[in-house]
Amino acid sequence: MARVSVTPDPFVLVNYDSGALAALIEKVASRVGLPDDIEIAIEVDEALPRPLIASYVEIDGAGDGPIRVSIWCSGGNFEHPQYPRRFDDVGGEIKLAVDLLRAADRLAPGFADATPDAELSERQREAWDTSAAGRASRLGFAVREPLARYHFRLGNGFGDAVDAVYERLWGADEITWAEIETACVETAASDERPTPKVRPGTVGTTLRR
Amino acid sequence: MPEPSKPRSAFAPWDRRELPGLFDVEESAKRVGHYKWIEIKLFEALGGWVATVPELDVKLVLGRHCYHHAWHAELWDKRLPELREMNTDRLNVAPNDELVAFVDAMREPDAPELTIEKLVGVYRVLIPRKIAAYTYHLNGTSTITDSPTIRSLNFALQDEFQDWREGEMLLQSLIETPKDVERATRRAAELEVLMLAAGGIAGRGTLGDATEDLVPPQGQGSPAEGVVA
Amino acid sequence: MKKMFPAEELARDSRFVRNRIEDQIFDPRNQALSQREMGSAKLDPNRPAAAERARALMHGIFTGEIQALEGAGRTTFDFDETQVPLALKLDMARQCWDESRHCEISVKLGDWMGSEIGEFAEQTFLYEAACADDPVLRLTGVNRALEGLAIDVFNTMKEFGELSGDPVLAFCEDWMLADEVTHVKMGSDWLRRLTEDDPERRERALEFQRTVDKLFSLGGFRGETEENPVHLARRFRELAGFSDDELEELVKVSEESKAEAEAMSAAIQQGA
Repeated sequence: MARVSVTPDPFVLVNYDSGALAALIEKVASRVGLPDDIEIAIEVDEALPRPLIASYVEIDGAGDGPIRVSIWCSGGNFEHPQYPRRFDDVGGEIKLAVDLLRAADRLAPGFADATPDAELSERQREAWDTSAAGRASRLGFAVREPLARYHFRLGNGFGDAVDAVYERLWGADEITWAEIETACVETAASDERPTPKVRPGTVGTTLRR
Repeated sequence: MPEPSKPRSAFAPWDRRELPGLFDVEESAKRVGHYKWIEIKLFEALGGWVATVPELDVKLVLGRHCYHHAWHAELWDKRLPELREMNTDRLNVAPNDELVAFVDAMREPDAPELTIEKLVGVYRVLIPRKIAAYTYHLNGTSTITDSPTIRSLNFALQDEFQDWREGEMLLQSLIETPKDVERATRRAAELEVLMLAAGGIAGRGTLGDATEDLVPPQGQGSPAEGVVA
Repeated sequence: MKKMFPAEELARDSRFVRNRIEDQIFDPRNQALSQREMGSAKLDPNRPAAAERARALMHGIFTGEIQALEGAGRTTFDFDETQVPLALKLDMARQCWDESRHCEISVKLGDWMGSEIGEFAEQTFLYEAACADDPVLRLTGVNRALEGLAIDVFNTMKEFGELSGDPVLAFCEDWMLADEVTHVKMGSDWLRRLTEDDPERRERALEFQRTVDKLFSLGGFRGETEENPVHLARRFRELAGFSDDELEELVKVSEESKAEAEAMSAAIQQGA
């Protein structure tokens, strides 16, 4: 069973239970196939509400010591869309499944060269999330495929060629960083969107402090 | 090449319209005034009910149908001055108190669990009556002198048929149990009794008198006796 | 059926959940967020969490359209022809159809964006603007304030669709925007006609509109700076009968709304 630590403990701005979140992470980590001796530390920025949803996954101590997965995420990841400040059991489980599947990817040789989460482009992140969401769906998590598709399209473009890449990523049971990069090159080539207007404070701004 | 100066009939060979009709201008205006009145009462009810029905598909259909009947009211409102009725409010009346009672009863349900009752009143009782009245007018009026009314009747009837079908389909999808069947049937019967008393949306004689052309057998009373109160 | 239908009784199926705008105003996270540099708040595909922001706003539009439909529908029923001209009721019936169509479009757009009906909580403050018992006030609240907000929101969403290359979103918002301009123009025309000989009533209606506009500015949701997610669509509002003075007034009202929300949030924090 993974060892999980949750920050903050307790939550003060939202009605989340740190212990319940830790238990959920343990359960999801086991279902997505992370090793039992892993440590998972999650830091939730509880000030960030829905719809501000963001997360970063990092791997520390990949040498001889215990493997440690560090997750930073906004409180919005787990917030019930109908009840402000309340934990969303179903949605939270899906978000964790996708993040922990990406953590599992990072432990695999095929992701040795993967860019750190904080430096991923929108296109790369959506491609990776799509692949993880497809696998989570087949593992029995209640992933909403149309939602994953919209996220992918918004990050990669709207068109048949982009949709074909989406289908490939969604349906793949195994994936490598190289395949994600290839997918992004393909979607970039067919992306006919005008160069977005750059506004001060938009490009490069992340939700993480 | 046809000879442009060659005389031709004013009516093409396939144009079989004729002058005679059941209604003079006054009668036609009177009926059109009743149509306007019932269309207003109907679109108000549909608009008012939108907020009271929880079923999303019903809500959206009521919003759409509300406009159909408002547009019919507008057609009749515009037709009245063309029928020498310059005060378009004067004939904007119910044909009798019984139809007022019917409308009051039809529009009465308010609670969110009464969607079946609301729809039955409109789609199983009133709209069939409107289709009957409009069709009677269409078939009976002079196809030449009253053709502007005929044009409006055709537009209105096209909506009525489509709305009737759509409302009936909604009802069939909402009626799920024998108890629901009983509710719908009881509601229809209650309202039919009121509509029967009114005689139709244009009052008694809405559909004419089915017996008036019959010659009573010697020594017997009119076949209408005992049928028409 | 009773006249004057209260917002709390609006009928919904089991998928919908309602919460109060006060929950949003008194959310303890507001104070923490106000102390951070979050960058531009404008809805923009380049901003973090753009997809979720767009989905949440789109669902808000959907529930707003339901309430606009209900509001227009109630106006056809609540007032008889001694209170308002038949032509006004006919316009409201037409608006019913338009709003009904907007609901249909919003449901399809929700599907397209991966959302589900009722996924996000609904607030009923939009419908509350449709509860005034003076038809002139109601018309001003609904057709100039509520529908005016719809112009701003649809224009913002249309721009978002164009910037993100989303052909379905841009197409739908363009069509809905056309209808909203018609509705606001309807409100401007009726306000002028109904109060032609009654300047006092017109002033009361405009005052009511200012109050509703301030409420609809949602503490800085709408405005003309980078801090406002939704911007005033000046060109379309002009088409709908808004004067330059009214637009400037609206900017002022939005700023006031933001300042009041910030003061309220600070007061709550101090009291905590």
